[in-house]
Amino acid sequence: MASTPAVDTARLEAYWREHWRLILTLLAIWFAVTYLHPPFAASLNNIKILTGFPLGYWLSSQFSITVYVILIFIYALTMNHVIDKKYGFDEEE
Amino acid sequence: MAQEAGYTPVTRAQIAAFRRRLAKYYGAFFVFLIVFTIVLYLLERAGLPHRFIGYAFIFLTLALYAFIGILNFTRRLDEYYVAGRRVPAIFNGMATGADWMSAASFISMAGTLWLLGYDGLAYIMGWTGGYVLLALLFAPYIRKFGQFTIPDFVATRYGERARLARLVAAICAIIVSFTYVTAQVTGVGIIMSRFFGLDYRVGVFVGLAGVLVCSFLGGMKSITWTQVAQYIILITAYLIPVTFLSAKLTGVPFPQLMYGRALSEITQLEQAMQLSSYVQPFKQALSNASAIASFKQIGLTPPEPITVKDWVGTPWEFLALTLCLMAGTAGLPHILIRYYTVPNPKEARISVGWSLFFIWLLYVTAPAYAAFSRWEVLKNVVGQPIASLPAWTASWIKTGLLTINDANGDGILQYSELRIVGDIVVLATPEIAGLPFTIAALVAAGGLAAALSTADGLLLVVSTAVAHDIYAKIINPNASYSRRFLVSRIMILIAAVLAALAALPRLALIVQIVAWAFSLAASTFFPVVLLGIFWKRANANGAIAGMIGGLIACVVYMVGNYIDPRFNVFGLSHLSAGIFGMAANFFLLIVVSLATAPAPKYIQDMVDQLRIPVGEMRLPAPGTAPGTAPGMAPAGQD
Repeated sequence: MASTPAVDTARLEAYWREHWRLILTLLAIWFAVTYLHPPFAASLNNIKILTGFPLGYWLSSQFSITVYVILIFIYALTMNHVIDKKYGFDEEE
Repeated sequence: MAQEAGYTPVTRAQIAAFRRRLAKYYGAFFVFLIVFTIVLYLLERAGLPHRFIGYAFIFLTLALYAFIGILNFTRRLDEYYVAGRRVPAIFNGMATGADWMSAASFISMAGTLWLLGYDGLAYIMGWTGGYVLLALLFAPYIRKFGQFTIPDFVATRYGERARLARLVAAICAIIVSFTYVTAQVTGVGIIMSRFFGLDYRVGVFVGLAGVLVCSFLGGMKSITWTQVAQYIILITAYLIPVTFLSAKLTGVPFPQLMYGRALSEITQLEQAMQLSSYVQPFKQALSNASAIASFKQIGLTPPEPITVKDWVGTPWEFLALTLCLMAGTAGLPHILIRYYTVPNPKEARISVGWSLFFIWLLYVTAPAYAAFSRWEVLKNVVGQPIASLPAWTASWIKTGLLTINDANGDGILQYSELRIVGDIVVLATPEIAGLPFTIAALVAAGGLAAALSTADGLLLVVSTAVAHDIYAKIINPNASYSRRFLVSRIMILIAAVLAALAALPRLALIVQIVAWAFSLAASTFFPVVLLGIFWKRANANGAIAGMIGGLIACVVYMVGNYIDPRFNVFGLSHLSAGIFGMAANFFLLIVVSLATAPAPKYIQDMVDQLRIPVGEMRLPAPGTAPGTAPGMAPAGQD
């Protein structure tokens, strides 16, 4: 791989701002699915879903961790195929 | 020197071709594993003794790891340390999965859930959610930095005091990784003794040999390709028994979906028996029971037993533990270095996604193991006459993992008369499901793969921290390549033998230390690497103060609460001590950085370069930048 190209400051700053918008959005979702439901798990458990899962238990054991996988792929695909491209960081090496 | 250190650039087409070739090899390997299992099953039906089936699995897998290890013998530093930086994203994902999932994930995770119920889910969420932080905040930048070790990163980013920063980081890496590897070796010994009737000590040394055959010759290169094979074995071995158990108990072979039924049956049985509910959150009281056990084992006078119930029913410990495990995940050196091995930052981003997907497969299944076996125990074991318990219980009572004691002498087994060691949940499932011994042997091979793959990755971190960071970068920067290799290999040998010796007494404390490793990583590396990437103003003084202060704050809370649980804030246990270490680290890093001079211009430029996801880093040549120590050449271009 060639060494890092010189990039003018304005383009780098715009790129970095857009990158922050994406990761802050994703981190907000990460925070919500991690911390907002466990405090209410006891009440949520009264609701039964699918094959009989208590909702509070299901949110922690399946929902949150599946959202994590999706969040990472959204991040990787958006960065690689949308944001990097827009700012010209996708030349074939 | 070109032959030893030259960096081979890889194009996108080359990566794709390499990926296709790997897919063919590992696909063939998977088919072979299935055929091998079926053949052994047929031999078992024909009367082959169980002992030989067990040996067949151990020898096949160890021979395979040795074969991959020898095939990847290398004389190049970049292959030895970072697998030549040409591992495709998806295969690095599998390797990370195996690197990550240890004996604890494979065997003890489901057992922890069995014992803790909802509270155990903090581990499921913490050990997966950490990958979101790793992907968004660490992996692409670590790859962009393109060095060999995490102390390399710390020393380069905080280059004004490169030597001191490197030394502190190397010591933190050794503390975190060495305790962790000791637990893996313990896990190998336990698997060997439970499944194959080998002596625990013999098991430890067989396991040690298994670790050495892959890491000794080819370093990271052979470890990577062995870990991919180990992932395939461990995930196959994990999914098969519980799938059959789900089919047997519910008629549908999808355990991840069907354990909902097990949960609702469990809840009803618990109500009928007036037990506390399995899915009820925040039941844990703080106690120093494990401190007492450890003190006794070492021969010290144990502290008075103390239980603190004030915080039962509050979510603080659950939330804090989840955060510690997440930050620790993103700060563990043996996981971070896996993202040095991919070709570029874009592959690093995708690779974390694959890593978590492969880990998710196991973690989404672990609660199913726990729920099904709890259902089986509550339905068919508890409340039954002791004379007519299910057949599978007999062999596990012999191992001591299951203890029954008819305290009231009525001939019926009550719940309180039953004591279960968590590990039984995964180990006994093949028998509960009525599967042949061949499957039990496959599970043992899977557990072995999980323990060995993690031990490999950790041993490499320990040996490189000494051989690369302390010896080649601090003590003798002019060491020749052959000299560095020699020191690396000697260190792997020494670290492996020390880990085996530390594992021999089987101290309960070791398992405890692994749980602490996450808090320690969160208190040391997490803030320093994070702000190093995102905050130009962070400087060496701040980083060194942060790491030392974080380590001290974490250890003080940990030890204090471990011995006397009355020493607590908001009911947080010693497992969540990383919260305090992390806070201290961030605070010191920010305050000390602001109070002292900003990092020099060349370092701030470096942080700007980090943000550009294409091209290798341009780092100042040794000695040319003010304040760089000799031997500071960018590792990839040595």
